[in-house]
Amino acid sequence: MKFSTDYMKLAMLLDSGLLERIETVQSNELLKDDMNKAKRIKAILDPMLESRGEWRAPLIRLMNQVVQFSTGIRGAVFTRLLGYRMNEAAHAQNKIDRLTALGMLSSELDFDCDLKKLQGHINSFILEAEKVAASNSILKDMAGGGE
Amino acid sequence: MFESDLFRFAELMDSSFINRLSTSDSFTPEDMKKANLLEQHASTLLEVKTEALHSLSRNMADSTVIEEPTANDSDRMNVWTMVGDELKAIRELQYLIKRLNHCLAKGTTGGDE
Repeated sequence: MKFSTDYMKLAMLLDSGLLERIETVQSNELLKDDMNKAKRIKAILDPMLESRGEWRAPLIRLMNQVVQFSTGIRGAVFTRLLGYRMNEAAHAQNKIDRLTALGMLSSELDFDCDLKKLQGHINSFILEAEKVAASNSILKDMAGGGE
Repeated sequence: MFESDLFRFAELMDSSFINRLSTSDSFTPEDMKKANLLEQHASTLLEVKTEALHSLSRNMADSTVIEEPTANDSDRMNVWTMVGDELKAIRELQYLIKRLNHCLAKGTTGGDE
């Protein structure tokens, strides 16, 4: 099964065990596979956050325009052409639509917060893992020198 | 802890399990348990995403301020790209749910026999 979206690719790399280890990074618990996974996550995460930043601000601006347009011009057109009842129904539908769309935006913003949090943890995790790897290699060299 | 629905869903995804879903027809009881949990999260996510995207596109289509972007209109281009990405994610969720249901059906059949 091949997924092509960044979101699905990222989801396939994350699991609760790894997330827990990343959040509570402890050098003696780092697994070699975690480091590989962390680097793959970082490779998807960094560009993903950048592209999400690009659409977030314009989307909010456009959503504001939609809200103004829907409540203003469209409301007036419905009132004239279709009468009060239809206008009320259209407003109710508009309101639901807007709330749902805003709900989606809000959920995406929550997701952004989590992604940023993950990015912070991943960066510290990789730094820590590299330190551990470096000290292991020093220890190995010392052991090798003594032989 | 991570809080968004999307992250809770991500925690359940597991590449080896997802690969088995499409390459194998025999599943362990652990697989079934995971498929069941993942199916619930994926279905909820799909429902929420689909409804939100329909609302968003209705609002966008109804409003003359949001027309199809031209090449030099980066704001609209970005939003349309985002909508396109969400549509792709929805299609992938639908595919995942189809395979999860296939896995769950195998388990049900196996249990009945």
